[in-house]
Amino acid sequence: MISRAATTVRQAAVLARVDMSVIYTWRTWLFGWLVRLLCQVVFYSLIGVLVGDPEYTVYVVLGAAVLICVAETMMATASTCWDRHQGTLGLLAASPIEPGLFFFGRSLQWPASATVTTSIALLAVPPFFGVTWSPWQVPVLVGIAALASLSGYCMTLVLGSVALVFSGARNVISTIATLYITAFCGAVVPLHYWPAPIRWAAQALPATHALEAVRLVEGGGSAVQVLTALGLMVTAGLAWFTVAFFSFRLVFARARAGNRLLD
Amino acid sequence: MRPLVLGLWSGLTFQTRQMTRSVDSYFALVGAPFHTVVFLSMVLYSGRTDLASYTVIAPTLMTLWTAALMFSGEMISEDRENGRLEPLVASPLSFPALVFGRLCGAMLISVPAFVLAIGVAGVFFGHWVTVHHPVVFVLAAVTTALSTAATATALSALFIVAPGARIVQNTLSMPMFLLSGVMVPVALFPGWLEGLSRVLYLSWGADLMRDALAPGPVESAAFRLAMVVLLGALALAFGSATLVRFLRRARAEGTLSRV
Repeated sequence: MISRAATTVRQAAVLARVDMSVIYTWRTWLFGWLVRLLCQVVFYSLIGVLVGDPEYTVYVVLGAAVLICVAETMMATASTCWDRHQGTLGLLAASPIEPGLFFFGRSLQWPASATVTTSIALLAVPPFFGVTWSPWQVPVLVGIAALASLSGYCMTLVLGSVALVFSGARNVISTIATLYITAFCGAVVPLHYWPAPIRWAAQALPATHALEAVRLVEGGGSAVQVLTALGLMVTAGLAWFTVAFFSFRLVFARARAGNRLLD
Repeated sequence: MRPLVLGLWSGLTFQTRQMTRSVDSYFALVGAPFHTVVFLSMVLYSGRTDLASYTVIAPTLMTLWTAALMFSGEMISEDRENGRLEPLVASPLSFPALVFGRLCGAMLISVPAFVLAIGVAGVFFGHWVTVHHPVVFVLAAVTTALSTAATATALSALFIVAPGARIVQNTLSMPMFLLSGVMVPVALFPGWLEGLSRVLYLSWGADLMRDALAPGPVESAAFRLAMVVLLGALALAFGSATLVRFLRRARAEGTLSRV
């Protein structure tokens, strides 16, 4: 059972690797994509400089760096729809695969790339805005970036399952989701700034807990506090994955019943 | 002269008609209200209400540039896919003027973007932005939109000559927002970076639009407007020359269908 699931994910991940090599060469990834993401971190951080509060600038630069993994894993919303556009969705529906596992492997290039870009953003940009990292913090931050990317990816899979049905709206869905998270997960202003319903909803976002973990590492929080934040993040990620798993099942069941998804 | 005017007018009317029918044209608008929320919450949280006007200018200009990237990347290739490209190239109108006219039509998206930004700031944050210098503001907005269309024409030419460049189409947004100071004035940048930013028409346009919302007098408005127009005109000249040269070669070699 487990080996069959692993095989599905592994085989789908082959597509992820191939897609990534078609979209980017190492040059366009490094000098195009990475530069664009780092510019995004600097863009938000400079607003902290503009308002003239160094402490707030540190708050924003860490938030903006963590948002990189949100922006990048959100690309999975579009890549989930690629099989529909390429006409291979019918073959997938006819095959005995578990769709949730297939789509988990299908877009793994984004959390993989996001782990690298978020780590670079966290380690390279904040020092220009007054943050200093100790050597022991480096692997911790890379670990948080990896878990945040994977948890955020699980949330994106739910959006991907919706986009698979409404594929014309895939970019609108991912843009709205990215900007909602940017505004309301505590990246640019603390959560207590927002009304209670927004604060409650933010607890379901893996990025909220990733930010908490990063800020605890920067501010000298205890290991227990950091692990608690990470635990909440992983729990949120697993909950989203469970929703995505059944959502993809539902989408495939309806496609097999003939709701024009495979046309 | 007639082919130029005909191309410009045909492009403008075609694009505005198409935008009334296609919901996809408004994709760039999605970001405007959210960016206003993000920026305004940042400046209000920090107690800098004096910067609130910045937070409606930035989303407007970001929408403008996002639309420019989107349309410049898709326009000509869509013309080819729809079978319009060959008759358009064969017609007596100026093709670069047609592309520029269409992109001018696409820039009308900045109007609802500005309204959305103003509305979000007012309705959700109770902060209604006042335009203290309406004439300067309108002139700055129009010249910035025209220069954006001109720059997008240059990008269209670049994407058609070097299709590989479209890979980086999505990556040109944030560097432009940062370097042109759509939210943070370039005057705050280090000297060398400010010099680089001043080459971008958007940095002049963004500064001028912000100043037009501020109560104080707008200094050197004519010179700054002229800089927006001049940099836009240079981009348009480059784009037009590149398109004309490319089409001449494509006609001679019969490679138009490969665009």
